[in-house]
Amino acid sequence: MSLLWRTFSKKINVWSVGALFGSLLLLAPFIAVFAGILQDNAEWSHIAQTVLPQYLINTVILIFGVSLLSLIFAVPTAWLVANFQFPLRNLLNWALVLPLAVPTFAAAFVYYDLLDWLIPLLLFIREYAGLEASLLAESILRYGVLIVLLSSVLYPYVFISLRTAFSRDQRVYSEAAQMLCRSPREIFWGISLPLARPMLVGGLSLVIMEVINDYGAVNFFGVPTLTEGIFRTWFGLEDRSSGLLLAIIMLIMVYQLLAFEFWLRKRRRFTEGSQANSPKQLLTLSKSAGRYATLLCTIPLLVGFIFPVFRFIYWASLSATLYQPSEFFTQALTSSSLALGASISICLMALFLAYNMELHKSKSIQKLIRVSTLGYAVPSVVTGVGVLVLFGAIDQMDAWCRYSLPFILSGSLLAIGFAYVVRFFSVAYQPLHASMQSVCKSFNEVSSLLGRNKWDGLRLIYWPLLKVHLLACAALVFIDITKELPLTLILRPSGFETLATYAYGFAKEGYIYDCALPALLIIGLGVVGLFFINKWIEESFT
Amino acid sequence: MKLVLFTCYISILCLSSFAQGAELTVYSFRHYESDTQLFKRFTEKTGIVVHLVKSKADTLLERLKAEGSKTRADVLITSDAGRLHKARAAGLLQPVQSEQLNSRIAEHLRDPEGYWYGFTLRARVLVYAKDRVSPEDLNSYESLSDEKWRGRVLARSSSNIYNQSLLASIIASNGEKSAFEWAKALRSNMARSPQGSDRDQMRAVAAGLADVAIVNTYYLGLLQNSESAKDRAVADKLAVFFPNQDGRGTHVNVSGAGIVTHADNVAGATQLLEFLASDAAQAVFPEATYEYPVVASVEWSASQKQWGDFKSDSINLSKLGILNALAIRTFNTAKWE
Repeated sequence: MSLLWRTFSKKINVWSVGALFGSLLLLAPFIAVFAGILQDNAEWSHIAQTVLPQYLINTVILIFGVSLLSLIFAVPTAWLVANFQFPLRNLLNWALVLPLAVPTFAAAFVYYDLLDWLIPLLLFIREYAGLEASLLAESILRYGVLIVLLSSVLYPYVFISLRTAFSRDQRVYSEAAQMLCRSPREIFWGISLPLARPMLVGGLSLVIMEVINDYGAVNFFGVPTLTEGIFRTWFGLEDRSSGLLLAIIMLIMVYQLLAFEFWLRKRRRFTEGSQANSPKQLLTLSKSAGRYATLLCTIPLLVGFIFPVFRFIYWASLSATLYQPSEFFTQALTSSSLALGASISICLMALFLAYNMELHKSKSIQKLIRVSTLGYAVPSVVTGVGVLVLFGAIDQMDAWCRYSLPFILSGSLLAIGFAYVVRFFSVAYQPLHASMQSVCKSFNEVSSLLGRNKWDGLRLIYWPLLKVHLLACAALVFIDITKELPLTLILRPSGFETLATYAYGFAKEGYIYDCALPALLIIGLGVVGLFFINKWIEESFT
Repeated sequence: MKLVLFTCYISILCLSSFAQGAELTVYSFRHYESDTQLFKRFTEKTGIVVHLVKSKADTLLERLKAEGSKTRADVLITSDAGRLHKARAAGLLQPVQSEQLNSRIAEHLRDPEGYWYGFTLRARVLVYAKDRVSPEDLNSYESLSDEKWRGRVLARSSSNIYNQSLLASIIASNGEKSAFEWAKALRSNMARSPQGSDRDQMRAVAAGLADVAIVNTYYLGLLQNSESAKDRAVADKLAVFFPNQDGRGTHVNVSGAGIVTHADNVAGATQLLEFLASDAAQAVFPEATYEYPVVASVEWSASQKQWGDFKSDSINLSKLGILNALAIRTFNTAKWE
């Protein structure tokens, strides 16, 4: 017995308790809501027989389509800006991340217009090949445009990871290959791409989680996925249990993906020497090759940023609503201050848990931390209701014990801030943990050998090395929260309006032109955030 | 010291959750600016300050359930009767005692026991291309399932509550089997898969992709009165047909409100409901949102007058909520996405 206690108490320390508490905090809303799965799932067999196959097929089509196109957008552009000098390279290096500032729901309105422009083509097909051919063509075009729109605003997740990998992490290897007279093509296929695989899969997993979580765009385009199934089953058929079963199918898909990514990273773990942080020499492309490179890098930017922004400007000119600048200022301030507070909390928590992941050899703690990053894959509505149920239960705890809190948590800023932390934790955690593995590993081993404790390791090694990464992650989360819609709608306090909810309100009631100006402001805030990400990443090179 | 600071921080974050006197909190599914203006007028008239929480209807119901007795909500507003019925069934609403409301709002547009009242009326109609369809070709919702409309009809997704309520009304009138046959046949008559909003169905009809679309009238009002010349050109190509005039009448739904079971300010909430049914408030809806007033004496907007008078289905709208889940199951089986 005493031996068991000694073994157990050896494992208990501030780090393991902290990891346990942090992970459970992130999982608490899901535990609260998934308790509902034990209820009767009367509609499950009906769903399985009628709509489930279509939901699964659509989800898989979108995952593959968007992943493929995101790679097509991100890989060549990241490779070009990381290795070569060509016209407008410095501008494009920054501008290629801009589509991340465009909210998906707003991009969906813009791109749906494209389908209207294609109606003459459908009429032509119908006249010459019949109704069935026109229906088929319409489906192909609709799925195609949806895949283009989702890829065009999500590819920067892959681009950002890859650009860092290509330009810094692999400098030593690619320069050695250049000295051995290998061509850029050989270096790309033989060294850069294989070495960047963990970063690529890391970025891609964020894209996939965004895709399966989307409700607005897929609903608007009539491509129902598992997320729409959750809405329909839970709220329409009032069968929470079956709705949650659908969410579990989604989670299993994502967990497998994350486990695969973790496995890849483990197999491909490598550490860099100190010269990794010195700037890389860019090769200057010939005039014609340079022109092609500029053109290639402009395409994703055109599709994901310039086209939607110009469309919004046009729509804003048609808007009939008289805007009060003070109202906008208040909304922008609300959006940005809440987003700022939440993103700082998220990044500190991500640093703490990622460091724990490195410290603990215990498989169970590692698994727990990995499960707690799944919040990003859970549909926002499940997270939102989870927070409602959890905080509602805390508020009403005087029903089963004498004590009650002196304030009400439901409908407070704390509730919405906590939901953001649960949802966006993964956005900061994934890149931070990847950086930790590639940048800090060897330093930490030296620190342990010199007898420094774990706190010193975090304070003296990880913190200075990861400061810039942390700022970049915070900015990324900031942009995500500024665009966030479903959680804010579900949990917001009274009179609380962000730019995203303001834009949604107009669009929901059919005032499509009036949502353009708040959408433009969201993009503007995002561009500011991206400017800082870029600045910090560049500073980290020097 | 750190503990004190932490407690202050948490208290500030939770400050918004403290309730104060002469205030009302409204949970609303409607996102109209004109509603906010109406609430301001209510505050001027009564001195009661209205705090508004706008969200999606389903998640508002979940929020009310989770908050239980600690909710700050006094009034729930949704843009369809089905969800008001669901709120009542879940024990989230309490009955209202008001002679004024009972006398001004028709019986079928309110809950039989006063748990909720409709304030604006929305008609689900057929909109057709004037140059390709004659009104004589149209008759009822049911007639659109005819083979002659193959490849000529448009409607939005069945996840939309207005379509679910329409099918619920058809189930109530014709029975489940007949409603299923209708949904299946209509789906196969569509010129493209269900998608977009009602506005997008009208634009596609104007562009020639189909001849008829099922839409709510107020979306046409938005197009007709848009700042965009392109939108007005779309509206010019279209005309409204009120279906089922020889039978039960055109399907209508309401935006309505009820008082929350755990409301702190029931008297203030009742005043707000009565204000929404007053002539002054009712006159705002036709002009601002192109919805019909529920009080018969209130004048319609110019657009509504142009669409013409019609007979509406007099089914009690509670029935739409009772049949909502069955309507969704029917859509699922009929493969109407």
